[in-house]
Amino acid sequence: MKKRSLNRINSAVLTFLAVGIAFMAYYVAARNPVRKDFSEMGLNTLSDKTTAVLRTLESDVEAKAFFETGSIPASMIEDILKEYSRVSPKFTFEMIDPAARPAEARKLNVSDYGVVFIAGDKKKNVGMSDIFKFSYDPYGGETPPEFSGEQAFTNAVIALTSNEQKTICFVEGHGEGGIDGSGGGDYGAVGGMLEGENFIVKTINMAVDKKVPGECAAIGVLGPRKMFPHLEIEAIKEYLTNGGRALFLLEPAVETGLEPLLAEWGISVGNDVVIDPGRFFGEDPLAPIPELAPHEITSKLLESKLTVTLQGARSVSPIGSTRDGVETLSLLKTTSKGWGETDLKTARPAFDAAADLEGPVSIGAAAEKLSEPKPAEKDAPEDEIGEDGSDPAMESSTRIVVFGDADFPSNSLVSMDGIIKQLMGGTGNADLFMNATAWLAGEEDMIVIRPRPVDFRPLEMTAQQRGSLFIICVALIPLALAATGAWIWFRRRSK
Amino acid sequence: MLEVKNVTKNYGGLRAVDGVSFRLEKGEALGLLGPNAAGKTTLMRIMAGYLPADGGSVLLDGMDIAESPVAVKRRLGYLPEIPPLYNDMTVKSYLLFASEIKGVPKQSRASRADEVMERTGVADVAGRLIRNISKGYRQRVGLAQAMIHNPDVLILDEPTVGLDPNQIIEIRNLIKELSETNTILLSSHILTEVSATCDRVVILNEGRVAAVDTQEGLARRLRGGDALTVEVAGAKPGEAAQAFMSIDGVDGVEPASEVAPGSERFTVSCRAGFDARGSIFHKTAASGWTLLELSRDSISLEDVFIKLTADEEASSDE
Amino acid sequence: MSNAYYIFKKDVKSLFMSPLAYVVMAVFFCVSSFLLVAGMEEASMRGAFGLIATMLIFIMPFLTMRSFAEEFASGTDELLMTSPVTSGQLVAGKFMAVMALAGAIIALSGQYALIIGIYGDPDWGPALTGYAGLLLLSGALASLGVYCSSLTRSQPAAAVSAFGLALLLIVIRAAQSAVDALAASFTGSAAAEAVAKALSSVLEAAGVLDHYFDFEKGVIDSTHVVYYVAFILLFLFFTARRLDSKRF
Repeated sequence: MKKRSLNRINSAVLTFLAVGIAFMAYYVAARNPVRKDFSEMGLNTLSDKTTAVLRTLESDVEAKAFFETGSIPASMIEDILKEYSRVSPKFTFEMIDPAARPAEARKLNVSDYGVVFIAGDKKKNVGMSDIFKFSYDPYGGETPPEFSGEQAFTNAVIALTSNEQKTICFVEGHGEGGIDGSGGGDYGAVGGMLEGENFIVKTINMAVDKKVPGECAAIGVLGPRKMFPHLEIEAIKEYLTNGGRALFLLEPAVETGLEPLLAEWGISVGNDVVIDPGRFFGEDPLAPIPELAPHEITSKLLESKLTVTLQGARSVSPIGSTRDGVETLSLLKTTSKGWGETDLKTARPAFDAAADLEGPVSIGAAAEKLSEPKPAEKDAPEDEIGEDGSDPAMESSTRIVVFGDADFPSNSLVSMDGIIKQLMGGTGNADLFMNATAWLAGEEDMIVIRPRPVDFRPLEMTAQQRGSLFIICVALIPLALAATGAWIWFRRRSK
Repeated sequence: MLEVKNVTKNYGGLRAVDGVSFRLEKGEALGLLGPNAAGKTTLMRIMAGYLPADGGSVLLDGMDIAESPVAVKRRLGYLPEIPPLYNDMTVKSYLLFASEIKGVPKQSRASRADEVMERTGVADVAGRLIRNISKGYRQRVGLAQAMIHNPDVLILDEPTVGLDPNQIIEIRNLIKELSETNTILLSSHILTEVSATCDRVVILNEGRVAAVDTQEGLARRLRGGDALTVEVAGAKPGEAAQAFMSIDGVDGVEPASEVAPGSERFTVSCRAGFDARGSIFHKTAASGWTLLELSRDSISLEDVFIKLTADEEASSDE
Repeated sequence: MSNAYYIFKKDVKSLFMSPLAYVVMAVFFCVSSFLLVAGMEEASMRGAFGLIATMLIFIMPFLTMRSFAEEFASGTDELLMTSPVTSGQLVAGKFMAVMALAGAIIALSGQYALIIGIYGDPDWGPALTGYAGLLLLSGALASLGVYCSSLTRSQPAAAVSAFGLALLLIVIRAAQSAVDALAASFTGSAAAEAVAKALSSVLEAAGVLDHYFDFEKGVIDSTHVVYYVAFILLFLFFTARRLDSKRF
């Protein structure tokens, strides 16, 4: 009796011990994981940069990925986000099919596929064009798209977790469109997007302050209808001289008083209307679809083959600057058939070589003043910036972007559904505005991770081959198995 | 050789086996006799290691089955009440499998299988599927399986149950034959079966040993008279038995199950009409021994016999 | 150990000599091919692996239900349990036999690998790790099923309980978010929060399917391998204890 009860106790102890050993083994293994990625392209391996960023995460970051369930982008993004969450317990993610859960998409103001990164009350959107790069092949050959999701995601995480939130100040008081307005000529749509990109959006009235507030990382002047008072021009001038950043959207036939200031920075704003019979939208040659010149602002649009549609534009051309170290560059250009019509009253516009600007006409330009970096301001992450090609020895201070049209990012052209947008053109209007603002605010990617090809390996089979395979796999193989079973059963039955 | 010591087994609140003790000597054939539900199958399962006992122990040459089950099981052959047969195997492949798991050396497996098939008379169905052979054959294949590793002790649970009379006779003859070379424990609820094959009988009733006796003793006791259980301490070995035997009216003195060292226990059978209890008490006292127990057996063997013969009639009616 | 091999051999024979195995395999591949072949666009095994893993969850209970339950029901366990074979050997043999059949199913899924190899240029790394993952997953399901089979003499009960337990171990991850929410509400009590956090991490680790997905992608992670090996050994150990408690 005694021995047996002892056995029972032993048995319980043994079971307990076995469970303990199993849990311990798992715990130790989970603490010291050894991982090996056997995929050819290392698709499941995060870069050291990403790992370092995730390991030092101090606050929770959540990613909500809006993709169609079962699609290739969805599975690629799920895989990589899973890796992110594996590295840091503070990183969580959720895959959401916007078709199945439209309420979720609406809540986060998402209208397109993409990933929204959320940390506390801050959020940052990463769109499809940031995740997949389609390189343009003029011969129409098939170049596989590239996947640059890791760079986009990691930079989004950095932006969210860095305590700095940049403020973009929009000037009012001269008939500008409201950055939070919902009218057709307002800019509430892109204003919302800026907030989605972790910017603080503000309006400023310089008639009161007489200067640009110090908190502004960049100012925006969106289609003024009136002359700027002298004091305000002086304020902007002083702001720019001290390394300020500014975006000007200037409608044709409006004199604002800003023109001499811009000319000083090497950007000439023409008093004309751009007409481009070579490439325009719909049946309106006054709605040119300009060609994009390569620049940091336009590179993503070029990669994603997005176009911009303008609505009544004036010429904005780079000219030599009177200041030292200022580089100016055209961003948008008409075709060579386009011209800048200076006779604003004519009913029959035609190119007049004497008065008009000859095409290709520039409709947007950027100016940048590069200077020697001040050693004190140099900090660690800036080492990474250099990889994109800019000269790491030079530091950028003043940046100015001018577009000869104020309508392209307005609500009426931006806040349209995907399909209508495609019909209406201007799929890249919001992107152009966003990228210009980001460039001005110095929101370049903090780190650069080499994109990798999307590893899609197609099956090459004819419909006929597929048909025979279907018959073999669905019918013949199972039948053969069933026949084997029947044969064995029959043979053994008679024994 | 095989010793059952105070084995107890409970099923829920029911005590199926209650402090059973007996010994199986080398070379003997012992019958475990009892009505249905007397605990025979449970006891045999415990002895074969299929069930754990709640108390007590089973020893093979002093080796406890609870402590070294593998070593003990290697020397036991067990035929359960329902032969443990795989229907989708042939007889031969089944016996080869049994020889493998019972530790028959590789080179002698085939010859052992042939030998037991020969002895049990199933060689003619060697290649047949077990599901297709008759009940008599199944029982014999079960027996063959129990013998395959040439065990020291064969434990056979109701080996003839459910067979037709011809088959019963065949199996009985086979067991009788086996008993000449093997040590056998056989259970049955049929008196004649046990008397036909066994040297000694343990009668089990309601989980308890009602009697342990030779056939003659059993027969005598069934004729009438009382059985007394006597336990004395202080006597030299054999002395007490001799003394009790000399009492008038005592028919036989059988040593009963083991007790503590220094004391002895007997089943004393008396002729009908004699009550030897007084004489035993005086004899003990006079010899200077200590009388630890003196009782009339609570279960009347007659009752058991009635149950057994009733069962026998019932089963022969089938 | 040769005892385990004898049990294995006997079970494999009886599995492959019974029509059941072939019916199961025929149905398995009829269904999986029907779902896979027509829609195959990519030279990758990932779709096949996902489907096979899902189907194994449904099929494995049928492969394991016989293991012990049938022996108990037919009384043949009286032969096994009274033979000089340890419970460990018995369980190992039974488990390996089930794995032989699961392995046959997994090997037959090589037809899909053949197709993508012929008509495409697949990345074989993830294909191989995927097979390793399938074997480990089916091993876990097999050990669970064999354990359930040792608890009952009814094969349907064995199958149902094995499937139920497997399902529980799969959906257990869903409970994690509930526990997390609970943990968030315990802001007052540090102890309660710690308990909820610990529970949450246990739930996160417990999911039997969650450890499989990395293999599909081409990643072999020691965490997952240790999880499955520990899982398999633990349930085989439970099964052996169960048998030991039934006999001497």
